[in-house]
Amino acid sequence: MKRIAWFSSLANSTDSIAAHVTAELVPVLRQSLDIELFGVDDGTKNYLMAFERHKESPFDAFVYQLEDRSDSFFSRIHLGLIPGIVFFHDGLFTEAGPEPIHQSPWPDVWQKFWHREANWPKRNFDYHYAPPYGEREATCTRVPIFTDARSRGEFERGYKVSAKRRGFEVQDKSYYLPLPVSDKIPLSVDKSSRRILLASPPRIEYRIHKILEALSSLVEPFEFVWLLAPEEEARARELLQEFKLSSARLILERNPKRFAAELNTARVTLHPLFSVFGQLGPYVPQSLMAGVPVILSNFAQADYIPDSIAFKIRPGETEARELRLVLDELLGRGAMDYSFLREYALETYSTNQVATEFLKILDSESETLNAFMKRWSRFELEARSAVVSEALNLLPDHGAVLNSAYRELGWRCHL
Amino acid sequence: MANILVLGVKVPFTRGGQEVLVQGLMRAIKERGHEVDAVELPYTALPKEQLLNQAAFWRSLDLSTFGGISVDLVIATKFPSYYARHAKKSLWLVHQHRPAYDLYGGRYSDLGDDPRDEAMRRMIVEGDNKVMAECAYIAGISGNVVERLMRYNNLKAEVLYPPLPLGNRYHCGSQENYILSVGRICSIKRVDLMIKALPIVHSTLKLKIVGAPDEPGIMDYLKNEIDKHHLWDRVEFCGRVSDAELLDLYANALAVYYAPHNEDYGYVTLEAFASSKPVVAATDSGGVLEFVKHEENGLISEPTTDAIGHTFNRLVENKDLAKSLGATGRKFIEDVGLASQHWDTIVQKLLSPIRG
Repeated sequence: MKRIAWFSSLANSTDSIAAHVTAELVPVLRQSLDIELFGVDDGTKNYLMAFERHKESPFDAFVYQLEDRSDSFFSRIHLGLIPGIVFFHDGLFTEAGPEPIHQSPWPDVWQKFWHREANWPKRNFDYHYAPPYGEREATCTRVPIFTDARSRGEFERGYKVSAKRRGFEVQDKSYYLPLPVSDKIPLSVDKSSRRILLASPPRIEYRIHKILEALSSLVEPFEFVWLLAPEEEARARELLQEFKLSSARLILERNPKRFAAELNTARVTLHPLFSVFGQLGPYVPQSLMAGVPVILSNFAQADYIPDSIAFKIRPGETEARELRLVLDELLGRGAMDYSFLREYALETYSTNQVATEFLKILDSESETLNAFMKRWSRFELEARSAVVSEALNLLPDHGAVLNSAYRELGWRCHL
Repeated sequence: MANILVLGVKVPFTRGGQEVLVQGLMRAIKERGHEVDAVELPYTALPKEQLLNQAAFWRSLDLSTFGGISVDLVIATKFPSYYARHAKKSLWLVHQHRPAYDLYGGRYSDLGDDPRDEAMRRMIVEGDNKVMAECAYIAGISGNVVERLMRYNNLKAEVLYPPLPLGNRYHCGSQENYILSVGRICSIKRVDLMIKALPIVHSTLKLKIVGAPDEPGIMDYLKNEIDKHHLWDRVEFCGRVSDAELLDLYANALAVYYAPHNEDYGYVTLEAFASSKPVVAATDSGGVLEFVKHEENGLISEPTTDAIGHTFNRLVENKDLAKSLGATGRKFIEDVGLASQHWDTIVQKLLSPIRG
């Protein structure tokens, strides 16, 4: 059985996509793979000690869940220490991240890796990871898997070109895998429901003003349910008051598990997003699995969902009016059979299906990964030898007096 | 009677908790009838590659005999002293090289994702695991340190809290209008937060800072902050002070500010309690929070200037609160016996490898 070191946040009480994907996929993958979880949460081994486990019982691959959240920082750090397979839930990051990434000498590291004659990165040099952030992560990735097709497109068109310009060897292939959702989500049964469900922050890129404007002028009676993170409540209430929608029901918990629980009584779900950052997350596939119609912003990621499966609203001047029309239409229709949405979801997003595809990727890339890991191990030995030389050269006679101690501690290595 | 060496790590021109611990331990061992001396090598972490050399120096030492006298036991305290070799070794751990462990990935670590840094980090961890496993007895100075040992090095250890440096000499005086900060002046101790909070604290309250800097650039930074907010009439750098002066400074403070990031132990907390003074700590102050309980013997604040400022205003506006928190802190010291009784247990445990 292949051994996998799996790095992920397990913050299941939040809308972390990494946590969701890990919760869905790992139990299924464990039927075929020996997976050890690394991270900073309870239930994981400390990520900084992964190298020791790798020494004791080598991993065949290191798999990282990356997203634009601070609970992904440790994954982004460790990706630079041992490159591997990355699930990019976001292709761009809004910030550089913690110190090791801020000051990362990654361009010079990879020059050295691909061109042995190059120098090691400069010491005491102000390396500054300039935006847009994501190039370092893309460089460190040996097998990039995107759960957002738009990001994959940008990787192919943008990153690969700039990497070649730097003289880096670029990964042959990138992959798209849909976000997995459980087929245990039941088909929504309440055909008389007039419940509109939203799981988005109260921020402008989530088109909140347009949504509330549309809702405030709906002809059909409705119930509005909004999943929020607790710290978003005050802002949400301000907005609801502004649009005279104070009867909205707020649920101060936004995560896939809670969203799935609310789907049973939902008539329609809203998935707005108009930004170069972020992605729609598992709420769209979850809605489809429950046979609940979805309304998306007609932008970026929406291009990859068939028009027959989702309603799409173009962001802009006519947005609120178009949304109102679609909602009134849906609410006014009466009971409809949306089981075809579930059929699409089962075919596209089911956890077993996604797990199978991941295993195929792992198999097809195993030779490449193997070759890379051998080369990376050698690079690590070179780095070790380099830092030992640097240390001993700080002393007279190249630290000859300490040779015996270095050897006894296992710090001298032979290339 | 045994011949014992206590192994300490000395940063020249600075004095911190570790030096206090070594001195206290030596005194306690001697009082219990043994011969004891300290071996302290000078330590520097700059440039960072020196860390490997520092550990290797300790490893190279022969501590078995001096002038015909056999050394029965060595007691190591802090990285890299525990790299020393000896047939009988105890460890009373102050801390490992934390930038390779819990501080890694944050602003207090200078190890990054350069493969050479990662190689060094791994060598330190591997080396620590090897040499600490040689110890016949392992303890940590606090629950925080012991938990860190288990989390990163998979080693079980006991908690042995160090007793107060000045024993029974702490006393309570008046409540003058100053906050006291004691400790090495470096970024992780976060004295800057208190300085930046002063503008929103009642103008009658001053800040007295005891300790010396041990980080390049830190004094320039703090002085800039004081200049920026025009606080020179409210901030006093006392430098290093005598024991008597320190006792008086504790005795007459309104409260003590001690809000470092993830501290190992923090003598300052207990010295404040022994002087019947409340401690203001931060939510991420680590070992300090093993003792400071919010609204019982101190106040715990978010580590922001606003929150700290408002916390101190509470104490300025309600000196009775400060008094009652301080009294609870004093009672804790008396109940646990951290003034002096605790040394019996510590010496007995650390010497257990030679007691069989």
